[in-house]
Amino acid sequence: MRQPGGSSDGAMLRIPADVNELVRVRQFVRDYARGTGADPRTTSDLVQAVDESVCNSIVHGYKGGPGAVEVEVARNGSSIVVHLRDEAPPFDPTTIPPPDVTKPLEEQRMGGLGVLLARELTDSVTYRHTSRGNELTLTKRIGGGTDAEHHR
Amino acid sequence: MLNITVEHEEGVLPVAVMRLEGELDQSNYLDVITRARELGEAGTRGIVLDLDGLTYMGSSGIFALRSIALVLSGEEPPDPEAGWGAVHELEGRSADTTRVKILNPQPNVDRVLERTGMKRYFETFTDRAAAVAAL
Repeated sequence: MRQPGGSSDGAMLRIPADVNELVRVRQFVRDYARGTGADPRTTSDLVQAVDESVCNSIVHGYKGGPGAVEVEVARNGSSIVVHLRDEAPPFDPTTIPPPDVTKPLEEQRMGGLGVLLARELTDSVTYRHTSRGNELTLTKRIGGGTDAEHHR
Repeated sequence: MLNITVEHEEGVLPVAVMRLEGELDQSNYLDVITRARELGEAGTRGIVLDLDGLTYMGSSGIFALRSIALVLSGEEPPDPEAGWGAVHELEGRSADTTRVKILNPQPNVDRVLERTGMKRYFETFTDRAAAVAAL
């Protein structure tokens, strides 16, 4: 279901917790970002970060069980803010240490790549647990690049 | 949606060019591994992954990439029936990553390969003939 979000400039998508829905999530975010005038790189980075996070919610949060994920997008000044909400058991992905991708391949932890990408491709990732469940907030500057890139 | 097509190349080793078109994510990454497994069982010893038509790759694509390298190394890939639990089977297992070459990844896909460290292990090409010859 797609409906206007809480912000006058926002939108919301609610999907069943099914990995086959990820394509809709990506297109939803892509369309919104393009509508704000975001450049292709900013758009693709945000799409990636959201996809990885929603995927984690479906696979690790709901563990393949029934449920729903809400994706709310809105513009906040020069940034796009994405709130991801689910009712899965409490899980804070911001506490997951990212895998060390500089290690030899056979020593690298496979899990955590989605969290790594979400962190690296956005300007901020924050988590809070509400009475309804998990809420992850991703923020991406529309001007492109990330804080990490700007500081290199 | 993901479309997988395969062309076989004649060379020193039996090589296949596996073209992926569309978007690779958690819903279809196992299809890529299954196809590579079939090729490996049929005697393919090297695969060029043509990603020119791949407009999106999620981190599950990295799992697929590493699994393909395992298959071509003669190793048993993680059990698809185990789903994401199979992820951790990859840890501690080595594979000959030189048996897989990547061709023309789009910028966003290339960024995923870069940020996950995969470009250190999987050589990337812009020319198909060169990618095939490198196997």
